[in-house]
Amino acid sequence: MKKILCLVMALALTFSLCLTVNAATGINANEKAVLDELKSKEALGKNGWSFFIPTEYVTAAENYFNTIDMTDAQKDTILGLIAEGKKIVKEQGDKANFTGKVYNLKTMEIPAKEKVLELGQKACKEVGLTLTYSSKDNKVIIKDAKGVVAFENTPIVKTTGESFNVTSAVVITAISVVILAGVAYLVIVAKKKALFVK
Amino acid sequence: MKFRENITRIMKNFKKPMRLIITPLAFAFILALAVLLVLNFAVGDIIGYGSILFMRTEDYGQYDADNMFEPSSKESGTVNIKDIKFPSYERVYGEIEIHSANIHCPLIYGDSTRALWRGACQYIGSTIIGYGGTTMVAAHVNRHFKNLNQVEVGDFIKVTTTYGVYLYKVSYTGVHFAYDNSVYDMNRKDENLVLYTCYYEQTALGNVKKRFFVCADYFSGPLIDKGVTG
Repeated sequence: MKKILCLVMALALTFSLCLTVNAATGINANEKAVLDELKSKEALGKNGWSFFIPTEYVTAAENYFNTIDMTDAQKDTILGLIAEGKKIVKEQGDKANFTGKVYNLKTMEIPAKEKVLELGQKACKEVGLTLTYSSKDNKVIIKDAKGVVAFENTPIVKTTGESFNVTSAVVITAISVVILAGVAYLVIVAKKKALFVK
Repeated sequence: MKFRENITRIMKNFKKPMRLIITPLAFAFILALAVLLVLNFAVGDIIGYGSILFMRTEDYGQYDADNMFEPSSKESGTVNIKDIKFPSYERVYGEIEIHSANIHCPLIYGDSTRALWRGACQYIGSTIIGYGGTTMVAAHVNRHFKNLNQVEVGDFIKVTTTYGVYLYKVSYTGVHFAYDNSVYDMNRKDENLVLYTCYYEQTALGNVKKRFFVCADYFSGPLIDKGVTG
């Protein structure tokens, strides 16, 4: 009986975990306010420069917001964090006396970048997301509580064909050498045997 | 005289490694190159199918369980955002049909490496079908978009989702570098669809740098009423 109960429980758990589609919630006023802030291209620096978040990143956020219902408190916290982040960017750009039109966040100092990353992690946590950053490949991944990807900073256009690089060529060559060596060895052994027979 | 003897000795000594190492190496290298060049697409397929075989089986089961696609038959009007199930990452939420190129494949939300072996995949930084905006969809050239280069301007692309049936009319096809973002516009607010796949033009060695793009404009289908408040 216990085994049957365990089996039923396991099956129920499996099916509950399989539920992967989310009922869309639409964009409420709070989410719209955050999206507007993310889309904002207002002048920020003393020399009139601005910075902006790429459209595709904002769209990814909008897609996620369509699956949640952001509360007033969450909106206030997130807008506060965005304002704090903008302040850091402004300080960095002005410190460098940037005179161009669009400030590149990549040129920021590492401690400032880390601070902005921390703010991003806090903002994500506010809506049940986890932001991880890998400095090795400069990859940002945001996942929801179930571990489902909500955002990743991959290029818009992906590789959609086999691309053979040097590593592939070396591996295939090495395999070919091993096969050839094996065949050569067998041939030599066979020839030697034939000599002895004669 | 002594010099000639030395040279002969060196040559004799050289013959052994030449026979045992250098010749097989050179032969193997040429053979590998020939394999790559002649069986370019075939090798690609093998690697692709191989990667699927080596996928963890629990991923397979989870994937199949999650992707029971229920097509909608709604072809016009609007659909409220709250009446649809928003797609989840790496999950099928539609299918793409292009009769002129004999393409019929699943449409997956998210374009991870794993998802790309399963169907045509939408970049999650683009809008879902019918939402109003640019939808970027990719698939492998040796799999689901094998015939994408047969698509011509004026052809229709049918996309059936869980919430509606959409038609797009092809307005442009062309080959561009992958980094060339002049082909598409992520800021567009009108409904449009961009399909692309890798474009081979030279050799099997090296990265495939170009893509074959198909751009299509919205023709029919229930646009999503976003119901944005505030």
